[in-house]
Amino acid sequence: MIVDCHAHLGEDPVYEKAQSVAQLLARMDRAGVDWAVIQPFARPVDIVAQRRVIADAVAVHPDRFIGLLLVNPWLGAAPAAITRDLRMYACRGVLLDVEANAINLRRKETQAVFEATATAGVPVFLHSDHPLSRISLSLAEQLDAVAPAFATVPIVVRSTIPALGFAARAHGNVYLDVHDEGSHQGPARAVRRYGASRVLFGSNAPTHHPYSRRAVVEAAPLSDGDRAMVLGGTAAALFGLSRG
Amino acid sequence: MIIDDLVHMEGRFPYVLVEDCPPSDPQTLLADMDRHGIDVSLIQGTSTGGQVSVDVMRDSNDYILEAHATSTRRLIPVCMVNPITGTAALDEARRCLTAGMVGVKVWPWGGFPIDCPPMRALAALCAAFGRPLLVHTDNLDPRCHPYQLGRLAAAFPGQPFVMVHMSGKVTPDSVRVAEAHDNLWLDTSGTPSDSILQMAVDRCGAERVMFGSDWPFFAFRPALAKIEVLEASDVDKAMILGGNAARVFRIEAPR
Repeated sequence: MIVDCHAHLGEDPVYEKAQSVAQLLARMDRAGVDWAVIQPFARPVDIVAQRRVIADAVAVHPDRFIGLLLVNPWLGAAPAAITRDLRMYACRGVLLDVEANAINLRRKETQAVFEATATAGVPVFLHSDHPLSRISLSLAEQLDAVAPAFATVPIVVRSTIPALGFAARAHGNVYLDVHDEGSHQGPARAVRRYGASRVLFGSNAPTHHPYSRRAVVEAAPLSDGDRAMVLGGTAAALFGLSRG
Repeated sequence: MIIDDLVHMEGRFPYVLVEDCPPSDPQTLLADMDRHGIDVSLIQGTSTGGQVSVDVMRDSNDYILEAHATSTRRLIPVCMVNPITGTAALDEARRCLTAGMVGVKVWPWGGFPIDCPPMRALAALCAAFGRPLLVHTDNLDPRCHPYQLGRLAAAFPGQPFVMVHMSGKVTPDSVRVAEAHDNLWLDTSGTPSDSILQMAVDRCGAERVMFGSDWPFFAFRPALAKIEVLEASDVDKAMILGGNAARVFRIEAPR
């Protein structure tokens, strides 16, 4: 089973990108991807409309898409409201866009999000625009505080943030999305450091095509077992997916 | 004919930023090229060879000439120099181009901006030889930003420049600069995203895009996959995969 843990739907007017359901499905099929974990682009500010894009896609293709619920902690959502919205929008994880929504994981507003995900038993995906932004670089230190406080919550973050290593080594609930690894050595390095059960294949489609991103993982010097984990096994365990 | 415009050989000087580089000797490279249907590689040393000292710079380029001698039609040499060494860089570039190297590569991460007086002197030398200047770009480092290369390209109309890596990821600065300067070619190696590659083809034309892998740091297969998924005609893909490099670097088919 191949799972792309990072694909966007909708439109991003800032970077002039867009991806429809049909376009994403065509790309998944070209790449041999069974499931995609889908999220909206964060920059359009209408959070309800963005959630609806994801919920509608999951409703039509429940056998191909896993939805993430975009949450902006600054809007003051209580844990109960987030739990309710997860059900309402048929989402199986929460998305925090740490740059577009200027999020600090240690703020009390963000703690509410982690409380909700701990209760619901779903992962949190941290999306950042660039691995070297000031906000991305501060994530390692923030994760070092938050990950142990919510040790049952899987936290997925891009693998290319340079300072992430110490937090990922210390906390087993930090998962690495390798969509941004340009070289085939990158996924192998992540597996060596953290184990295949914490490394996830992603494409960041439409920025990258899942076909070329999968080729990076296929070319990585990994055992067959580790490669299968990265390409889908890890995500399947995270979301309780089973073939058929 | 598939031509990879950016292949490194560590030789005697390991790359400064990677501790676990796979083997990159001529035999390993040729075997990997055969596995992936690549006819020709433009080979160069690593940035370490280009940066450390004048002696190391020369020794690294000599290694590339030795590698070229093992397969003269398939391993085509490109020299690396560090412009901040001044006349030594110009002398070394002149020596290498006279010896048959087909271009000059620079790596501004090593301590100089793309648009600076030593770079202008090097560009003038390349223009005199009619050979391309390949410039590493990265939009995270202001010294390597594509806008800097745009200024250099504007100062030398008619001189071909290759924007190595298309300045990295996220923003389409590389495409915007290439739209404004028709003497710039965009190299697909390394980190440019698939969507920015598509934008390059759509806005600049396939004749301005060149296939590269950055082997051995990046594997051939994913580099080729990026070209396979482009929405472009077979003719356009053939230009990207080799036709453009053959024209710009004046390379003949090896067989």
